[in-house]
Amino acid sequence: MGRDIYPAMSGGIRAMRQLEVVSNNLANVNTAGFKADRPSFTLHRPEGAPTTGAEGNLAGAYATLDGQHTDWSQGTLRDTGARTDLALIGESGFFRLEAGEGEAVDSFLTRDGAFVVDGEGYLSARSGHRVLDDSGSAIQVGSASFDVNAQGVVSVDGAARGTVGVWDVADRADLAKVGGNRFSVQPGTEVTAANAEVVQGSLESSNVEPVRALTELIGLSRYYQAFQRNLQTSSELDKALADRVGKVDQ
Amino acid sequence: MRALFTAATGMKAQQLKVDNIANNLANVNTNGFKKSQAEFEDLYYQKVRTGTGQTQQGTGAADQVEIGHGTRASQVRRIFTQGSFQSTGNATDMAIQGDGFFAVNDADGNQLYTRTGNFTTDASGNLVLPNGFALADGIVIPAEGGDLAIGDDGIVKLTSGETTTELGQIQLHTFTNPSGLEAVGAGMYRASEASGTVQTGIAGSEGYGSIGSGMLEMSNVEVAEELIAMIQAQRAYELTSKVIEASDEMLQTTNQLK
Repeated sequence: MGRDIYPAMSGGIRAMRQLEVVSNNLANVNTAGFKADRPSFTLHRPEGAPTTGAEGNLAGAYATLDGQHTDWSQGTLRDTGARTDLALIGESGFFRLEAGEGEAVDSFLTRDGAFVVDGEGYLSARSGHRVLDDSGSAIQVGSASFDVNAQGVVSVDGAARGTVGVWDVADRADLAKVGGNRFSVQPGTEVTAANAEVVQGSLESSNVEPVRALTELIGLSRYYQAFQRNLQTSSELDKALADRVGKVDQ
Repeated sequence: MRALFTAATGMKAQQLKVDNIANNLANVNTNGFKKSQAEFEDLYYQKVRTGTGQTQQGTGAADQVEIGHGTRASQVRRIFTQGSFQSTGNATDMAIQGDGFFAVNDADGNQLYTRTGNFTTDASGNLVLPNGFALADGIVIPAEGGDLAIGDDGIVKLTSGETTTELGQIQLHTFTNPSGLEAVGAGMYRASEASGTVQTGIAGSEGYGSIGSGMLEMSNVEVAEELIAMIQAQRAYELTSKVIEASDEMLQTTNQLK
């Protein structure tokens, strides 16, 4: 009894979680540098369940949410004309931001290049975290108009002021989303130089694909209905078991 | 059901984007107007499952689960790109080509900064904007009049018959971070902590724009660009509303479980 109820329930919870992820993706469809998330699930079979033959189906199997991965694909570039807006072309590489005082992280990585120049003349993110150069120090551009070339070299009237660093980590699983379009890098994680082309005057759009997200939404709604039917059927079967087994038809 | 609230943050963000576009479009013919642009960031992530630090083989997936809570506006940035020029032929109309602001004094004597250059002379010969704010450089144009000329470098000269007198020089002001200036309306900005301290210099020198007399700088709003952004925001609004629909459907299904 109840053998089918729990697998059906695990499916229902799975759909709910997935909806939350799709919802966050869609809410960030206009967030510069946002990377979509995809939850991943693992199918579990009950212990001792047959894996071959007619019985080797998915009866009694259930799914658990066991992780998620981020879709790192390139977002399209949007021209803004602002000289402090930078975008990266290429799937490897991030801008690196200095951790603020009291923040227990090594630094932050981000693909959101909507930067500003702070009151002291340093190139920084809107959150106030300063942008790091290729050697890991802040870049002071001052008040003058500056140019950034494809290699990230910042120049003011032809004189180089530093290079906007393009960084990456060996295993992207070490990065955690912390909000503010930032990924945190834990102390001890090695951050290395990467290759990506820097474009001035543009921002990278969110890589959320509305069509995919909408399809997922429809799928989730239907899946959830199926889960409900499943649960009902299972419950009816149990009821029949209780009512009818042991009775002799007259 | 978290998804409902997450979707609502998305709708709120798109609404703000449309509000901002409306302001840009309303000022498409405002001299010296600088458009602004709303930027968004993702909200905090809740750790539903803490990772073990191992990566699953083959999938490259981290085994931690963090669920985001949507989006919010992180900044509405003013974009100080150059607007195009409109020739007026009136010598006291000034446009700045390049970086810099005119400094004006409001009625209480506070210094404000502006790119709006439609100055006229008031009864006592001061250069004033239509709102009555006077140019801070203290140039007084004598009542007897003459031919007024303002050079690229801001030097104001008055020619009357054979004699040319120099009345003074209009200086320009720049900021480390102009996007950090506080807008107080009517194209006026106030220095703030975010903008950094004001730097004053001669028009046309390094880092400062030059002054074009007899011209006005038009708004830097690009109508096509704004309309595209509006369509984008509207569609995104629709999309996020679909999440609310789907969440609602799922809740309804849940209610029918028993």
